[in-house]
Amino acid sequence: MNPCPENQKPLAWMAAGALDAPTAATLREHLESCPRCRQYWESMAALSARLNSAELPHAQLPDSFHARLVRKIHDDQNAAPVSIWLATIRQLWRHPGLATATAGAALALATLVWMQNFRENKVHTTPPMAVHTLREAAPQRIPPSTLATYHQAANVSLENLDAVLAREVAPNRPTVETFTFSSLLARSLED
Amino acid sequence: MFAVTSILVETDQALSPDLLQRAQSGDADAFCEYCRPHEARLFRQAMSLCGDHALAEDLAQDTLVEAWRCVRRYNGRCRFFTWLCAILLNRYRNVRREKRPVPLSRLAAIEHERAHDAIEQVTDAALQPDHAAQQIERDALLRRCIQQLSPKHREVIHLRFFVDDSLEGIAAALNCSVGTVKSRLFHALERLRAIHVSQNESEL
Repeated sequence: MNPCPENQKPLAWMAAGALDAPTAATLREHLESCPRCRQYWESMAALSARLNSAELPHAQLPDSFHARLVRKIHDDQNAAPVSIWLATIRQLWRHPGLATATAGAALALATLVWMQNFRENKVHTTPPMAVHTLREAAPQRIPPSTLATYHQAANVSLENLDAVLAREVAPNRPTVETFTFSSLLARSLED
Repeated sequence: MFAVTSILVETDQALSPDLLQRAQSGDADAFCEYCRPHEARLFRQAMSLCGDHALAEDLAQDTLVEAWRCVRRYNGRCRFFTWLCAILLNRYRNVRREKRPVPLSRLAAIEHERAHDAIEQVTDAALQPDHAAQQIERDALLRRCIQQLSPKHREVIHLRFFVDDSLEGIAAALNCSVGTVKSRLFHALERLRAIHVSQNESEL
């Protein structure tokens, strides 16, 4: 037989001595007129009485217990930094939200340190590479032609002299024709 | 609707506040001195949980070392002994998780006999033999029933009936609200009643 639903919890709390006196008094009045609640109350009260009367084992604590405890605590005190760290990690492990936040912060910190190192490495290694690249990429500067230059070219061959003169007339003009998509398109439209 | 009785939370700080303050500021000797009156009681609590003398001693030692490490966090909102018992229950839960106990029924005949002898040694010498035997049997049955509860329900039953603290004290020791303690207490009693009835019926 189940008790009245609204009285079930208060009856259990009353059995455990966890209900305030006015509410308990009202409930006791109700018990006199409700057999279902009374039956539930009797079973809960019997269980509570069993729990209250249960004896703790009368075991004797060894005499050496306190001395060993003192030694252990002093050992722990000497190893405090390690134990504090371990205790902190243990505490974090028990709170998943806090553990996630800490892991996130640790990851962010590790990323920052890595980025810093990466940047420093880049600063150290980049200049020589950049200089090297610039040297390679720099256009060949042609010295201005003089009469001696023309003589020298003509002595090699007349074609060579033509090439020197042509270069002076259009120094930036590419010697090899290059094709791009737009130039090909323009040419096809012309045709 | 059902207000909690306003009970003043008894603290043991009033007994030796100086020792506790010194312990909280890092004085190991003061901590040991402050804990000395609680050692035997704590050991008996551990015995009631695990029923093994050596394990109970280890549990009590570990509990006090753990308490030393976090004594700064003790805020006096519950009795110091309740706070110690909350640590003990937590450590016991870890021990159970690491090493699941073997039920008596699964032990070999000789081991079964030894285990029973060990349990019987833990008696109250002041009681009469017949009465003592009945008391031991009833308490052993009750302990078996409590062991079948979930850790959270076991904690609240233990602190309410074996440590005998108020709901506010239990809530402070378990770091949860009084409402949570009341809810757990109700469900734990309900479950315990069902287990107790079925155990009684099976043993009759």
